[in-house]
Amino acid sequence: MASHSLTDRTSAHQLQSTTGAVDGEWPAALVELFRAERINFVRLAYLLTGQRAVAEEIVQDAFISTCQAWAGVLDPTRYLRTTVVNRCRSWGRHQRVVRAYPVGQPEAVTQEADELWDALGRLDPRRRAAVVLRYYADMPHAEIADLLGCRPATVRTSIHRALIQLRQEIER
Amino acid sequence: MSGRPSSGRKPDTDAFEHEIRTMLVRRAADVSEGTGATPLPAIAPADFTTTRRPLGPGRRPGKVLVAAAAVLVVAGFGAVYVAQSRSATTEAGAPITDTLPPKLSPTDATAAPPAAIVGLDDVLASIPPGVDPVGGPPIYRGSDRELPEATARDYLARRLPDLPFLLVQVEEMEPLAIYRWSVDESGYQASGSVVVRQEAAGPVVTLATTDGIAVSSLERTADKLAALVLDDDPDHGLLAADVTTLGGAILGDPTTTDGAQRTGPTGFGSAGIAEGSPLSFEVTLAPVPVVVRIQRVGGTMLSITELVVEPTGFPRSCGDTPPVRIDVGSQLGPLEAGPAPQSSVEPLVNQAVWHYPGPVNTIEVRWPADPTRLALLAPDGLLPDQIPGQGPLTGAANGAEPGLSAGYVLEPVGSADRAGAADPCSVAQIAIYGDPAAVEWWQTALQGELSFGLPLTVADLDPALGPAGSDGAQPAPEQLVIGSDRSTQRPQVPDGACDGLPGAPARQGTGDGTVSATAEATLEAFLAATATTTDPPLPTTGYTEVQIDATTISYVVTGDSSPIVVVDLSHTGAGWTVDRWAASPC
Repeated sequence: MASHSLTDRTSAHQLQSTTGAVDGEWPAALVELFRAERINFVRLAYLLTGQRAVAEEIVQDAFISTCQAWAGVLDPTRYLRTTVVNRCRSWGRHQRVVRAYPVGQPEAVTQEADELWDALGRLDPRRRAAVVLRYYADMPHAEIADLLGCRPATVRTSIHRALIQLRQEIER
Repeated sequence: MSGRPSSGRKPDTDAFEHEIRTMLVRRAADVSEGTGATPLPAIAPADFTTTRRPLGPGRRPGKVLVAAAAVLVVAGFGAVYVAQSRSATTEAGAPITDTLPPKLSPTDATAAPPAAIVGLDDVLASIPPGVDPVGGPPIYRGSDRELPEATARDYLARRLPDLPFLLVQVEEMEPLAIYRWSVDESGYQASGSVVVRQEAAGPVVTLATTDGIAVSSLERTADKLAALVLDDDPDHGLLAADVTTLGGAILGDPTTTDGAQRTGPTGFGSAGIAEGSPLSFEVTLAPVPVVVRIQRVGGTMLSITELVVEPTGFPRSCGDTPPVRIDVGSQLGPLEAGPAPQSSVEPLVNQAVWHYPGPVNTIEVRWPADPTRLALLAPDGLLPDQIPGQGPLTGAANGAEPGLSAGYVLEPVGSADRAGAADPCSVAQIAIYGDPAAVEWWQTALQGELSFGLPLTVADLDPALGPAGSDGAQPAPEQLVIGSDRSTQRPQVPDGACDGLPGAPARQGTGDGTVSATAEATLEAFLAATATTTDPPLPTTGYTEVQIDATTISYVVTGDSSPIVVVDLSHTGAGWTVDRWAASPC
């Protein structure tokens, strides 16, 4: 992923038009954004959820949400990114429910074993989000704090503790 | 992807971070682009009745209640099911489809008809998330010794008074019985389902549906109910919506019709009425459960769809014990039941309230939080730690008596297995009343403690910000102070906190003697006074206020990994003054 594609707030900002969403159609600017950025959002969501199909679904829903809220969206890229991250974190929190009431088969695992990846999956959603946004999306602490709705100090703490947890898990 | 070089960190930490970066990039590459550009599809009509339901077709009747409960828990995140269903056939490395998802639109009036209704699973799949015919309140109550089928007949006879109907039981799973109704009269055909639940006091109807009518985009907050209704029958005439009490009284001002066999007029359309599909409506309500009634009207009542919608604020009691425990030390007394004496807001139905009394201030815990507060947390059904938090709320807005100050924090509680996206029991409200300084201190303390002591975050919201969505209000980057924090010791600017100058010592200096009533005013004056004497000048925005104790504060600007500017202040008898400052050499 090119990190700037998820963090550039100015390029998409200009996409806002006075036309807004038209019933039954997607705004042209959002279509462009979908074509240009969807795969990056899916990758981000994949890193946050660990499941490709879930990531795809979350990004699809995020685009729907953005489309429905189009008239009030000032910065589509930022709106989408926040929505994707929030939905991924919600998904993470709901995993206990899903595990308690299984309704489908687990995703087929054909990838090689990766201790660090597995350990990442065991982080709580906030820490996982902080780590991914910091080390993958390359976002500064303050921007992550904005996105996660917490203070930069909390982000730093989350990352710090996540690193400790990750290190401990792979050293076991 | 560009890693940031950092100084002052351990080499093994850097190596580990690099390892994480590498792993993330490698894993992200697992998600490949689709094979070439895929043409954008036409906007497809959304199948509102089936696309987002987390019910599997293979569920067994014996498990229906548990499974239905699970449905209601996860209904707010229906994508889970859809995604997992797909995942069963998704192979690692397979390209992801590159098509736009369908968009909900009022013009999509030709929604595909639902699949054949055969049982409870199908009925549940045809209703909006959040509607609970298994455990929710009834919409019609039969007599105490009546059989469920008789109750279903009585109910339909009242709702469809002019149409002879057939009624067939299709499924029975204690305590539920599912019936199918149908009419075929003068060329008009319709069918639907009725769910009857056996209770100790007799059977009750908890849900009625009409095939082809979909209640979509149902939104229920503490004070509002809105929905979009789609009907795949183009010839029915009017489509009418009413909102009624659980006792059946229509809220609002209905139109009336005399019908053919009734002894008196029947009202309809108080919430909305449309010539055909779609019908959208929005009504303002108190935070109580209500019944949404949708009917086709053509001289008489031609169909019936009724479902109970509970407010997101107060569906049920959350529990009898406080969801959070606060270590109040010796400043406050032990926990007592009931609201704080300073609070003028009466507890609402099913809201548990406790307080810690004290001579200076009182801390009150409400569970769930007030609907007006919950409404602030509701965009997209997200939990509060997903909402940008802002400064404290003070004054009468929280129901405080004049002259008193009040602040509150909203605390996510419980765990994911009970906290649905829109579950109000996932949020407790902690309010602090009393002396303004004490209120501020407790708010800060609670935030700091809960942030670091629990895997959850407190979001204190200012209603003036309005509902904060994904694009919610956030501190403007040009603000002098952008946040607050607590610490037990002064932060330090490490030597070498400047990329490219390893080991370069931090710049240091002392205060200019300015004394102001507030710490922030002192900082502002100090920065203005030293703008020309420091090179490079200290930044004038982006400081975080770190409270050490009641008389000691540091303002910090943080770089990638460590403080790059620290200004230490202390409180003297005359006010706040700067003791010293330190900054990176760059």
